[in-house]
Amino acid sequence: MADQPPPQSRRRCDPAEWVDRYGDALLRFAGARVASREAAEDLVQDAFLAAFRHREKFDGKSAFGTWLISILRNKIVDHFRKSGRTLEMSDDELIESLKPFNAKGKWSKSPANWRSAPDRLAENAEFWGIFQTCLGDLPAHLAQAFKLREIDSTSIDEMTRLTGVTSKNLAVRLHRARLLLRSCLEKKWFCRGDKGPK
Amino acid sequence: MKKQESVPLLLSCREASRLISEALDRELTRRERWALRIHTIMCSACRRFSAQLIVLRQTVGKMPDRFRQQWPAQPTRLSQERRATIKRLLAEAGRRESQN
Repeated sequence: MADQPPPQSRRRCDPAEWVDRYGDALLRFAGARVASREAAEDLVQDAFLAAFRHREKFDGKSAFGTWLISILRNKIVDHFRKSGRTLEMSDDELIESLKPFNAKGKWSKSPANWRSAPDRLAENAEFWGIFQTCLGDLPAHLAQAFKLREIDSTSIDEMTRLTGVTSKNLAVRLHRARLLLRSCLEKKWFCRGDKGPK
Repeated sequence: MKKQESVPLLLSCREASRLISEALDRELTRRERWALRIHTIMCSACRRFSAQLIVLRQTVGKMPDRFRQQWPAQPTRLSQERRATIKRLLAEAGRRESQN
């Protein structure tokens, strides 16, 4: 009797069906949290394989989709741990090469007056194209920090849980991301040829 | 926490820009607020930096759904190739298990 899996888990045993049924939802969850589609799809793949290996642990108390998401969430946390460490150095180098501040800590080039109304700017498709380019130029972990904080309005507490990065470190990342992004937007949009749109 | 309390009262632009950024994510300490106020009274560049970050936040906050949806980094569907790869890997894992 004990050898017989409960009927519910037997029904779950065609894993190909999991992919069709939950694949897109998992991808959306991962895609909102990591920088590239490639990374998101890798994580979804890892999550499905881990779910298959541990399928006996699914107790049926929560929905199957919820269980899959919890596995995916752990994969995302691991992903941030790994990528955060390997990228820290190149990130410093990048900021140095851009030199937003001189040796005395003053702005090398003073930020401009953007004179833009957020309402009108937000309706401008061309602006979002430039915005995407600039965000895409940031190192992945900086783009990710900005995206979580500003685009998804994630709280700092939730970000520390999700990324496993301390709030102090997140503050450093957000500062760098904002410095790089504003510099790029100023060059490519607000002051292009010094006659950017009002 | 101790470290944040020990910000100098006279900030460089580099330090001021860090506090301007952090003010968007947490409440600054009284000392940090003072130091920042003193700096920005005198420094128009940092005032503009601060204004830029606010424009950026407000604009991003108003990003229309149609741009949000076509955001390439936020895919909505698993690609066909990946779907096939995962199914194949799952089938292989299943076969390995039943052989053991």
